[in-house]
Amino acid sequence: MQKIYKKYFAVFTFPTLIAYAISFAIPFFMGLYLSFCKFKTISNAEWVGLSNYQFVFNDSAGFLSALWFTVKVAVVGVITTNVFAFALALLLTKGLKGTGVFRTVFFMPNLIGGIILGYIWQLLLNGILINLVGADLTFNATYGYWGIILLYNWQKIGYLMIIYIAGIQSVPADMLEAAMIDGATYWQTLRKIILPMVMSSITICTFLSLTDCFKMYDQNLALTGGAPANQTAMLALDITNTYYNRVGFAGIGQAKAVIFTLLVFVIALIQLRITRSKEVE
Amino acid sequence: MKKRTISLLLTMAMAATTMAGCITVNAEEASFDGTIRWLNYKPEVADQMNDVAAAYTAETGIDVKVETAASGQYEATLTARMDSSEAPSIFIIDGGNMLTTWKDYMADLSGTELYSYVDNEAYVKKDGDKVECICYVLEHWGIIVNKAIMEKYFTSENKSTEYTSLDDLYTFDALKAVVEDMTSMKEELGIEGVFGSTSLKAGDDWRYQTHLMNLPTYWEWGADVDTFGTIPEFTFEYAENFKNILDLYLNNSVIEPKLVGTKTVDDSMAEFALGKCAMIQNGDWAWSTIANTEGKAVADEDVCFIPITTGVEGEENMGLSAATTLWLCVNNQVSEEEQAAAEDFLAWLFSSETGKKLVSEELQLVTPFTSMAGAVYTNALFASASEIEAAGKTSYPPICNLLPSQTWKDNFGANLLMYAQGQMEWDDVVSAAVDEWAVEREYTNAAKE
Repeated sequence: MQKIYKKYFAVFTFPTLIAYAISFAIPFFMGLYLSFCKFKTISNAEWVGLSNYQFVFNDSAGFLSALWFTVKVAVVGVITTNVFAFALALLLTKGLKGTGVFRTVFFMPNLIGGIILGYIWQLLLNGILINLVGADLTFNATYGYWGIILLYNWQKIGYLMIIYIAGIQSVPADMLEAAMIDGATYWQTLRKIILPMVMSSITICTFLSLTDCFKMYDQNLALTGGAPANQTAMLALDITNTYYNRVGFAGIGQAKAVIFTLLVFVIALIQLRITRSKEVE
Repeated sequence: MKKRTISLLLTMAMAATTMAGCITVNAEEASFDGTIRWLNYKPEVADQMNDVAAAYTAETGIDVKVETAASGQYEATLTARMDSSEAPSIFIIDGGNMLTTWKDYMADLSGTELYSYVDNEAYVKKDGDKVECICYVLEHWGIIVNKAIMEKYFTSENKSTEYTSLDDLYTFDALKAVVEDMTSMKEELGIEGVFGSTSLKAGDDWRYQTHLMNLPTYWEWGADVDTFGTIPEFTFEYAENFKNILDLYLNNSVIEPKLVGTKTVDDSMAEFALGKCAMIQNGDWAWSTIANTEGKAVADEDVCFIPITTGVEGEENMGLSAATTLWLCVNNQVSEEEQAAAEDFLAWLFSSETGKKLVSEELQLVTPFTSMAGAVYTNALFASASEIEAAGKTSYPPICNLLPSQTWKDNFGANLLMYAQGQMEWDDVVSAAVDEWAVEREYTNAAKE
C-alpha cells in the first residue's frame, strides 16, 4: 500500500500543487516583492527598499487607526458571535419542536453575500436611527461600529451554531447520563462535561470568527464605507483605499497588505495554540 | 528515499512555476479573438453603451464588450484591468493626473480617422507628434432649474423679491434672496424644498467635492492655469464663497442637513424629476436620469441651466462650468490588430449614420467632432448651455481637474458631510482641506515627474 502511494503521489498532489502555486504561492511572493517597490501596474515595478513600510507605520490616521478599529470589532465580534452561537446550539439540541426549521432559519443569513447584507442593514439601521435620534449611520463612528457588530453577528451566528451543534451532539450520552445519576446540576454538566467536550468546536469557531473579523471587507464597505471620515474603515478597506485612491500609493497599499497578512497569520497561530491546549482527547 | 521525495517536490514546484508562466502568456494571446473592450467611465450610460456594442456587432460581426466602472472607481478598475488578460482596448482618461499615469499605455492616434474629425487642437493632447488622446465629451454643469416652478414663483403675488426672471439670478445675492423666499412659499409652489438633497453619502459626494470646487479654484488661480499640468498650491482663498452656496443648498433643501449622508445622486435627481424641488446642482449628463425617472413630473422643455454663483465680484459675467471631460485612448499594450479594430470602431461610432444616431440619442454626448455636426439632441440642457454661452457669459474651465487625488476628494467630501451634520466647524473643514492638499499635491506631483 505504502508503495502505491509513493508511486502515484505525484499524480494526486500535482494538480493541487499547481493550483496552489498559481492562486496562492506565486501571487503571495510577487506581492511580497511588490511591497518593496513603487509601481503602477505590476509590470513596471521599481525597487524602493523599506520606505513603503516606513510610511505605513507613520500613517496614524490611516493604517494604525484602521488597525485599532479592526481590533475593537474583532474582540467584541468574536465574543458575541461565539456566545450567541453556542447558546443557540444548546437550545437547538434539546429536542424542542421545530428544531430543524429554526436551524435552517438561523443558518440562512449566512447564504446572503456581505455586500447585500451591508446595504440591507444600512437601510434598516438608518431607518431606526433616523427615527430614534434623527441621524444616520454616517453620523457617528459608534453607530457604525455597533452596526458592523450587529451585522456580523446576524450573518455569522448561524454558521458557527451549526459547528457547535455538531460538537454538542457528539458528546457521549452515557457521560451525561452518568453525570445526571451522580446528581450534577445543569450548569455543572455544562461546565464540566459539555464545554470540555466541545473544545475542539470552540477552537474552530474562534479561529473562523477571528480571521473573518480581521478580513472583513464587503460588509464594512456596504454598511459604512468608512464614514464618518474613515473612522469606521477596517484594515481591508483601508488597504484598498490606499492602493487605488492615491496616485503612486500602490506600493504602500501592498506593504499594508503584507503586514495585514502577517498579522492575521500570527494572531491565528496564537489563538490556535491557546484553545488547542484546552482541548481534551 | 527522502532525497528522492525532495527532488520530486522541487521538480514539481519548478514545473508549476513554468507552467504558471505559460498559462498567463497563452491567456494574453487568446484574449484577442476579435473582441474590442471598452472600459466605460460613465455609469449613467452603462445600458446605452451596451446598445452601442450590440449595434456594432450586428453591423460588422465584431464582438464589442463594454465594462462600466462604478462611479469614483474608474482608475481603480482600470488599474486592475490593465494587469489582467482582459485589458481594455479603449480606455478613458479624465484629466492631467490620469494622462501622466497612463501615458505609457496610449497608442498614437495621429493617423486615425477619428483624429481627422477634430478641427481644434484644444481637443487633443499631444506629446511631440504623438496624439495621445482625443476629447470626446464636452460637458457643462451648473444649477439645473425647473422653469415651471420658477415661473410660478416669479408670477406669484406673495413673493417678496423684485426678481422676475431666471436672467436675474446671475449673482449670489439674487439667488439667495429668491431661494430663501421660495423656501418660505414651499406650500404655494408645491415643492418640498428649493434644492434637491445635497447627496453627501460617500461615493455620491462628487457634485460637491469635485464639481463645486471648480469655482473656488477658478477664482483662486484664474483661467490661465494649465488644467493638465502639475497641481498648484492651494490656500482655499474663496472658502467663504464655497460655504455660501453650500449653506444655501443645505438650508433650503427637501431634507434636513443632518440626513444628507443617506442620499445618493440618483435620489436627488429623482426628487428633481418628480417635481419635489425646483433646483439641483448637476450637469447635462444628468438628463438621462431625469428623462428616465418613472412618474417624471417635469416637462422636457422646462429643464434648463443657471450658473452656480458664490458671491464673488465679477461672477455676473460668468456662465456654466464647461469641461472637456473625457478623453479617448487606445491601449498600446493590446495586439496591433485589436488596436486597429478599436480605431475602426471609434470611427464608426462618430461618423456612420447608426453610430451618430446612437451618440446623439442614446449616449447623449456633445462631441467636438466635425463628423457629428448637425446632430440633433433631445437633451434640453445642451440647448440651455449653448444659450448661456451665446449670451456672452464666460465658461469656467475645468479647473477641478487639478484636485490632487481621489483621497483628497474623499476626505474633503467626508468633512463636508460632517459639517452638514453639524459635527465639524467650517474653519476645520477649510484647514483640513488646505493641509491635506499640501500632502496630496506633493505625492501627485512627484508621481507626475
